[in-house]
Amino acid sequence: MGTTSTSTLTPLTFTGLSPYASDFQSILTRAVDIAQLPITQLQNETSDISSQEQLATAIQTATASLATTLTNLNELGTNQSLTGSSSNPSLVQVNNSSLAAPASFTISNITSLASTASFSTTNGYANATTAPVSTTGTMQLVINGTAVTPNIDLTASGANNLNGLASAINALNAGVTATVINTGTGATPYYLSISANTSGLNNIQLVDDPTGADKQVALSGTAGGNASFQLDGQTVTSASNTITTAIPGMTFTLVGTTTSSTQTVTLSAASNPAQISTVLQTFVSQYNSLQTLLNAQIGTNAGLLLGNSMISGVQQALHGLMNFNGGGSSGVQSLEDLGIEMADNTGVMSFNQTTFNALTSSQIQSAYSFLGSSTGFGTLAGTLTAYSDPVNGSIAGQETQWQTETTNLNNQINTLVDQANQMQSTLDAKLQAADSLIMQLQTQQQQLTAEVQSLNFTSYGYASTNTGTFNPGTSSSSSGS
Amino acid sequence: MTAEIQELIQSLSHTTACLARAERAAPGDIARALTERARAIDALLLRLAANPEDARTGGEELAGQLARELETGRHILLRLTLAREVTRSERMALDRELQVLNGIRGLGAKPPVALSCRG
Repeated sequence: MGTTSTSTLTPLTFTGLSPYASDFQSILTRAVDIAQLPITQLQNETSDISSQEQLATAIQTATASLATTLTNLNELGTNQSLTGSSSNPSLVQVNNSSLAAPASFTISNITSLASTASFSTTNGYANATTAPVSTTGTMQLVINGTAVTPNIDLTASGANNLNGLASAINALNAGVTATVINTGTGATPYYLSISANTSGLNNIQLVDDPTGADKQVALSGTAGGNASFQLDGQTVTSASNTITTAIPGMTFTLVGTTTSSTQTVTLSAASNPAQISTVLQTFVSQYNSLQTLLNAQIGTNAGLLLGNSMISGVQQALHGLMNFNGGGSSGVQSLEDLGIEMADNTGVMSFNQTTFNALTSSQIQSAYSFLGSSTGFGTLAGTLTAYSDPVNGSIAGQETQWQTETTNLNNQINTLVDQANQMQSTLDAKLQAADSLIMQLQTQQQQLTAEVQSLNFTSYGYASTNTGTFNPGTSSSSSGS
Repeated sequence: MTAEIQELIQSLSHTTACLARAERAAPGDIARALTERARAIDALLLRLAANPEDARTGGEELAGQLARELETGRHILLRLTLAREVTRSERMALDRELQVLNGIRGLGAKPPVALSCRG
């Protein structure tokens, strides 16, 4: 009889031979159930916390999304939903606009676009590793007529070659990048290419032996250039084609030159109410999603967050949104004025595009004020981020508490696992001892049985089988343990 | 039945009684009692093997007494087996508990919360 196996878990059944077997079975089952009580409790607690965290994370995400949309509405109201546009995007493109009021600008005479300087040595070299590039090992980089310090030192062993020169130039961090190029043709296919890292005026020169012969290395290529154009009649030059400072609050990019002095491009920032309409639709959708999540934690079929203060808090914040009033006496004063309607019984929000489209210009202006003023609707984002902020929000605080509880539960579980492992070892030893004892006793019983049969045969001429040898069948009973 | 046989039978009865008393004690005590009983059985069987006439003269009485020892031993064997079943069930319950514990360990583990963009 070997050591019992623990790899499989079969339902606990006792196949005892005695008439007490069924009673014994019920006692065993009850004992196992009782033993499992703390574990079941731990399991339930851990599972509950995990589920609560998942629910809270979903609510946190939905709340954060709604807060972001409110912030967007606030920004749209503040900048009156101004959108930048160009009358000719093939010449000028508007990157972004944060102008506070509608405006228009005229771009003309785009005579040049900003370009990047790029040169290469006129003469080639036989290779990049041994062919010397300097007579003395000292060279100098000159950019826009100004010598870059320090001088280029190629006096170290193995440095006076194209590779060494390229590395030394790049190490100067002078705003240019040197690269060795191989044309693959002729006896001297290797050249040094030097390019400016940014556009604008950049003339590049290379001087050999600057403190002695001071001889310029022949370079061929093109110098960089500035962009030149007129903004509302004023000439502007820029090293970059992306113009960020000419119009405060608007960034645009020059992508082509004008073909005549009369060709103009108009950049404008104009109000675009459709943007508000789009964001309001998003708001309604996110509001309903969040409301659905909250409703699942309220009422008779509520989830695990029933009674949790975060639910009532976020619910209250939503009521605040729904009932927000601008405080004025005319114009847009509520969400209803913007076309947002609330179903009476279900609490589901909807957006009436027709109502929104019917708003007059003055009502649209009123809507900007309703959404974007310092006390406007969009500022209610703060009441939501108080819950949804991933660090300081109250939902995050609740999750931290759950994490602490989970840690404590895991510590309890680890302790129980250690105890169970120790008990396992003890029980294994006990089972081995029991198997050995039972086997010895079985052997003795077999010896006595044989002797009784022998004596009966001697006395009566037959071997009585009425010896009642008990076979507990320990081999089979151990298979499941 | 000879005096020697009677003495050996008494020795066997004594060790069987000792075993019955020891069965609820520590495994070491049971093992010692079992060893004593094994010696008594060996001594009796050796004597009967060496003196076949002892079996012929008092065979019926001897068979009856051995049958009683056998019956007592059978009860002890049953109780030892029941005790072993209890141990085995405890072991199985432990396996189940360990499996559940390992299953729920780390169930609530969650990565750290994201950093706030608001600093």
